[in-house]
Amino acid sequence: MIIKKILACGGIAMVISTASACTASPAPTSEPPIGAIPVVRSDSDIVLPIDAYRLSADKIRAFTVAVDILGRACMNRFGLYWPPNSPTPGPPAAQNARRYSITDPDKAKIEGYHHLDAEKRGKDIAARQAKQKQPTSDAVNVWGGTGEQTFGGQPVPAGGCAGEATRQLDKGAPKADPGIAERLQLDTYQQMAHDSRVAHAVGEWRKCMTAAGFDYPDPSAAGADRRWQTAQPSKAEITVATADAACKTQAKVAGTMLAVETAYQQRAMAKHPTEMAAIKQLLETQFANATQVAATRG
Amino acid sequence: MIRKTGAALAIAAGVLGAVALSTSAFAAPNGVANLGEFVVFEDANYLGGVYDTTGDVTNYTLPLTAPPTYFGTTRTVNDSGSSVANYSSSFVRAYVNAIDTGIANGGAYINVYPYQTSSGSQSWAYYNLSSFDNAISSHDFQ
Repeated sequence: MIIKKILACGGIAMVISTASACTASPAPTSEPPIGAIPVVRSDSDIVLPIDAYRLSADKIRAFTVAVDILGRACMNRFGLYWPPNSPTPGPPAAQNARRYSITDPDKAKIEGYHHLDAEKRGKDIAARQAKQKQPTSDAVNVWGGTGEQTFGGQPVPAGGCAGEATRQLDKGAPKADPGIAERLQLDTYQQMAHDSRVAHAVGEWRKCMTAAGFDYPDPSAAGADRRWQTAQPSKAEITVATADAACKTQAKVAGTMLAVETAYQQRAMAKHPTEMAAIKQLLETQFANATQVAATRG
Repeated sequence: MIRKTGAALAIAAGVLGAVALSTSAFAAPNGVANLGEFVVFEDANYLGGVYDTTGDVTNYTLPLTAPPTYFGTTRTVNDSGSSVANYSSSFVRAYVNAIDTGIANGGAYINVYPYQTSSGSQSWAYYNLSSFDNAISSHDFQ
């Protein structure tokens, strides 16, 4: 979408977020110096400074399992049923999977622009949800603390059983707002996409694709080719996607994006040292508490 | 296009005016928030069109001939959501500003917490996506 905006607006200087019109422009920021361009050949190569201040797949699983254990134990005190959470099927996605579009030539050879694992997983999740027993309205109230503040003669915890569970995970943690890290990485993603060095790499990608016999103005156009809107990837799609991934490697598109966004993130984090330190400590405490809950009560 | 009501400097988490959860039916998209669903609302404050789903939707632009729409309307969901709520017990990644429209679940994302949980300003519901208004293009459950 952002790359499309580049074309639609006639030049990199006019590029802005997808949410705005071409007549506006982002707040001007100087482009930070970048280090060496790393090699990115798969999603796992994309590691950003702010990653450690966001929920990783491990932390997400631990948090989810612990809230399920603690929250349902709380619901049991009220004699109420709450559906158990079962792990989402399949391996967790890498923290920055597809952040810079498709990057893995080996995967492109198999699934083109499709995301076959995710498509299957989506169907599995929908099927699983359809089989779950629904809680009662009383249970919904007590889970979130949204109804009367007493139920069955017992006081409902603040924020309900979900609130009680999350407070237990926060025990011993400093007051912190992980939403700060969340917002910073959204901002740096946009800054990266507007950066002149990324635009240059995309230009090199186009030259590479042209040499390979494909006339797409940008990676977005290659991925959005209507011929790829099929249930399974076609031979033609795989051919283009493989060339796309190879050209991204040759033109160092993802590597440039990573180097550029790393620089923006380092700059952003330096403006919030206290908040970032507290966020990291909060997440680590939550993870430790959640791990202990799973070990002792799971 | 329905007028958008949200405007702020940051994503606004919270449940102000959040739609009630229905326990009457399970899962099928019906324009009503049900347990287990991730819901995208067309307007801020959980107003306007409702797009409720239980599974991953890897690209709101697909299929090109019939992309997802708000229930009971022909208005497409891609790049038009202004508030979201997660009624499932899993985290959901909501992808915004994908750099590549053709790529499923691509770009940057925000973590939407499981139903009724939160941490700091991160939450299970965002009544205002502010600078990421009209930018959600896919989601997946974690």
